[in-house]
Amino acid sequence: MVAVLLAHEEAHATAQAAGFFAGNAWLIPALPFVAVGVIVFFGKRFRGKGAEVGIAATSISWLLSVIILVTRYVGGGGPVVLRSVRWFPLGRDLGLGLGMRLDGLTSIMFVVVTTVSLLVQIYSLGYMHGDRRYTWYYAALNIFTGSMLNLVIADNLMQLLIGWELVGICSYLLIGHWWEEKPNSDAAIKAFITTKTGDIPFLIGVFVLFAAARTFNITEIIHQVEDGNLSHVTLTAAAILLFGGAIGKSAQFPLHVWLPDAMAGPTPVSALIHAATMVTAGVFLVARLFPVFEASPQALNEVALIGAFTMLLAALLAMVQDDIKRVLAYSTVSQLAYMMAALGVGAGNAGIFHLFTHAWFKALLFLGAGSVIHAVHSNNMSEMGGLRKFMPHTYRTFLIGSVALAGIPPLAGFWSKDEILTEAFRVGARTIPAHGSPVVGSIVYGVGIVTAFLTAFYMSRAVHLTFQGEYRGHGRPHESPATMTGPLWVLAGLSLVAGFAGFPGWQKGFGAWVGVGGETRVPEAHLLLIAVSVVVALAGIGLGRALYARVPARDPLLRLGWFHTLLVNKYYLDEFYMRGIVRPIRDRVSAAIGTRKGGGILRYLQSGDVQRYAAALFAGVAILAFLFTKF
Amino acid sequence: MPAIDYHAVAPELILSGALIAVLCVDLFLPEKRKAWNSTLTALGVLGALGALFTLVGERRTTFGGMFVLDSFSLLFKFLFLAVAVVVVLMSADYLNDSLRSSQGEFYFLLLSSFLGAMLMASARDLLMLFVALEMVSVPAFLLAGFRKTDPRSTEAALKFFLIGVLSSAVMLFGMSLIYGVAQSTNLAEIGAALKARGDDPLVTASIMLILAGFGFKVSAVPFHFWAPDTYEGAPVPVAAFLSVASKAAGFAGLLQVAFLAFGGQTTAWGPGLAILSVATMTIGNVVALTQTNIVRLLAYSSIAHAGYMLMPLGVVAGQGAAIQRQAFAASLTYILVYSFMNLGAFAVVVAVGRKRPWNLISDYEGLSEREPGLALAMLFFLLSLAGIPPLAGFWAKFLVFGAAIDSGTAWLAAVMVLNSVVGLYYYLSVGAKMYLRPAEDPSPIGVPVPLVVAIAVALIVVVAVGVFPDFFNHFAPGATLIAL
Repeated sequence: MVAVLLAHEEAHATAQAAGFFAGNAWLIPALPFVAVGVIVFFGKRFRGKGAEVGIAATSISWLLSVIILVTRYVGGGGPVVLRSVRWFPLGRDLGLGLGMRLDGLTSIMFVVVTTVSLLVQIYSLGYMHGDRRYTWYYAALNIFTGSMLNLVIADNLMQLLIGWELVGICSYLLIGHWWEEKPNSDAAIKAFITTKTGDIPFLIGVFVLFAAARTFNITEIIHQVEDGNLSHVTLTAAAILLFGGAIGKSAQFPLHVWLPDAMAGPTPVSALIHAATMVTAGVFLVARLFPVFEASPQALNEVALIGAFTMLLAALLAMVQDDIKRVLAYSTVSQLAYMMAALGVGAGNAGIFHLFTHAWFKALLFLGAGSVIHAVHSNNMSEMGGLRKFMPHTYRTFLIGSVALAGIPPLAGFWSKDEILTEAFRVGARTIPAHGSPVVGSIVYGVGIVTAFLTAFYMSRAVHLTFQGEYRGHGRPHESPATMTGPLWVLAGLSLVAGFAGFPGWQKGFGAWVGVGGETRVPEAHLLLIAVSVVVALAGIGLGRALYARVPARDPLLRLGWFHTLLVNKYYLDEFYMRGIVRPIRDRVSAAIGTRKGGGILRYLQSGDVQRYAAALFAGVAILAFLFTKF
Repeated sequence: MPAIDYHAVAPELILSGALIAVLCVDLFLPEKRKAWNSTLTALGVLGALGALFTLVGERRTTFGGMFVLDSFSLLFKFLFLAVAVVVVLMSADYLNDSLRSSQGEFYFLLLSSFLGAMLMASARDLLMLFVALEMVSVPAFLLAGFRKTDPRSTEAALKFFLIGVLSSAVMLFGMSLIYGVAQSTNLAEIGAALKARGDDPLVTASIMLILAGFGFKVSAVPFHFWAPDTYEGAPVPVAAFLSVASKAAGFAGLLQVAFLAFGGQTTAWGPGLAILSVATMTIGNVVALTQTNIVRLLAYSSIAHAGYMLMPLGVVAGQGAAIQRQAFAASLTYILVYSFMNLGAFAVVVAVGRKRPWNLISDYEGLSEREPGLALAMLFFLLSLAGIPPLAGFWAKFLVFGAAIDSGTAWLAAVMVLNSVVGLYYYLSVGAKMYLRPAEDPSPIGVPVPLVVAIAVALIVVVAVGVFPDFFNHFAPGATLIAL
């Protein structure tokens, strides 16, 4: 196969210039796939039951990713490396290829995906020890890693789509890892179907873009958009349809309902797939095709408004959860919404910067939660408390993650969140040119500040309920083994320092070398806005401390009355989807195809009654007659 | 009377000799030597294959233009003989286990049906076409009812027969109308006459009737109802034969009639076939979702695939020669690829059915523990049917997709992709059962050697064509009909 690929190789003049590592970046997604083959066929014969194979492959991918990022950085950005092999040239326009587009965005995503994947695989050595399907688990993690890296490197929409679908399947398989329990397999199916709902407009969007540009190649599409070859209507339609896929994958309203249920999977999976990487694929997609979105103010406004709405909606839900993983899940939805909103107001670099910092502290929080769950054998914070004494490493690292998420300087979350808010504010104040509407910028800023307050509050609540006060659970909790606390400390370190990568005003900072959509403007700080953010975050933490420092017998949020009920019931959205959409469709489809007793059209026809088949044959002739005369 | 070109019909003659030989030899074979029938049949098929190799690259016409040998018919004949080899390999142990004494008739009927399929690929005359079609069908009616003691099998045969006869009548009616209009039964002459005549409701009506008849053969909606019932009741190797060779023969006839006789009327039948193909793939895939029997699942899946094969015919309306050729090649390639992946899947069903004769999907739970090789092969066939790269099925879908895109009917391409997603679900759910569920009974099944060979042949094609898709570029686009 390689021979075939190489024989058709074309167009890689830039590859030689880019140096050995960048030119061979395709190894990064390829290695985990190689590992999958080895694990599936020989995994059980290894001493580590295949885990070491996955960890080794991901380590090499990680090393390559870091080398590429560093060389790009030292080289001041470096060229966009385009390299592709045409696998199957066909027809007039259609050719299918495997290709790579290695620019700042890809390099940074590589580092995020491989680092979190590597740490999660090491952490799983302890967490998944003795699991029934341990070897399979490592194979699935590596399929996921390879697929996600392929999605990130893809230079054409078809290749991206393959990665996109594969990560969805891996997510389904891993949420349902313990499928023997019904809620787990239900959650897996819900996640699959909900994200698929978004994939339908996404697919149509890809076709719309293809029909207009006559190519699947992302670079060529962007060129055509920039040259103004594509009409505004086409681009708006394509962008809005593509955003449908992003809404599903990145769990934005109204398709956010699957992510909290996805917490049924093993906690390391939640950290890798449902916090740091796969769910960011939607954000990545918008960033990758940013010029398409920028060409349509309507689409950008939609992205921003969906983001603004989702961040608040999810943050409110995070306040009332008892399950620690669900707090983090809603928090993830809310933080992804920040990234979307940033892209929507035209601040692509700020959005990706938040993706970058969020990956560290959210993976850290999930793995910390996993460590806690491992110790107390429950997900509920009502059965935790006082764990500070029992689990000092977990406590300290979780605290660092929480403070980073709450947005207290100088931790990572502060810098990226503040950059988003500052950019939104400036768009609203019309001090920087915007592709979307300035009013939308103001809305994003306003909602963003409120959400920042809620974020600080719910994290403060979670930390107090979990680690402070007296232990309320059963047995005697113990600190987790070093394979688990080690990754926690690494992520904690990253959560402490990662924010400096985008220090405001720094000419060689994050935005300058990621350059989403070609934008390399250096963001500037606004001292007043910083002060507002910090005060709001401290107020949120303070309120959490005031309410939960001594664990109250009754949750003070219950005083919110009907609003609390509304939140606990997740705005009744699940019920609405179930009764209003899923059941009617399912009933009608199953009535039509006759899986239930009492018939249905197709069941009626497929009765086994040969007279009816004959009648259908003549009906078919009549239908054909109709079609032939009509067209 | 011009001389008959015996070389051109040599493969068919060898096949005829073999089927007569099987019938006669069987009379004198003692009960425990009945398995020799399969050897004799296989030798006959291989002999025909050998004769076919001597004809590669030839273009011959005989029987006054009724029988034409060109790259198109050669390609189909190779396909039919290859399928025949695999079906014989699949049948050998199946028959020894359950239908030992009547093997002679079985192979006789099977060879007769394949002879019809071979003739179909060369038939350039309505009469010849009809005779070939009946020659494929009539032995197949008997084969479907071959498990004589099982009422399900008898029912399968009866349904197949009744619907088959009805659709033959419909088709024959259409043919008679066409003869009335064109004053000829030769496809090329009909094409010329119709071009000269222009738009005519009578022509449209007869095209429609003929296409409806082919709709039965390829099991397109709404002429498909017989297929699941018949496949389920028939012996599994016969179901494999029906879903592959019989369907491919239907397409061979359909392609010739559509492009040779009705090539000037694409705007009359194109849009109708497009809608037929959408209905076929959608209903096939949706109903497949609810099946619990693997043979019925494959039956609905084969209906859905007929939809994909019809799709290129739906996009040619009013298009230039380049697109027509591209669509023709896409449909042809899909038939070739589909034949092998579907045969492979059926061969695995035969293997699993040795221990579990009810062919339930739940029988596949934990197959990866019982027979890892068999499970892996099945996974490859299922993934190929689903159209996952880099297996052959992906490229077949991709070609069809490309024909739709290049002809500007992107909506059809989109419908096809959505359908593939539905298909992925039920193929993968079988895969998940094999790999992720524990086996109720972990004992190995034991796969006899001929079956292993059958599965291996199909697997090699599916994988090799998947990895080297250029393979098609050597055959399919080159396979054109004379006068296209």
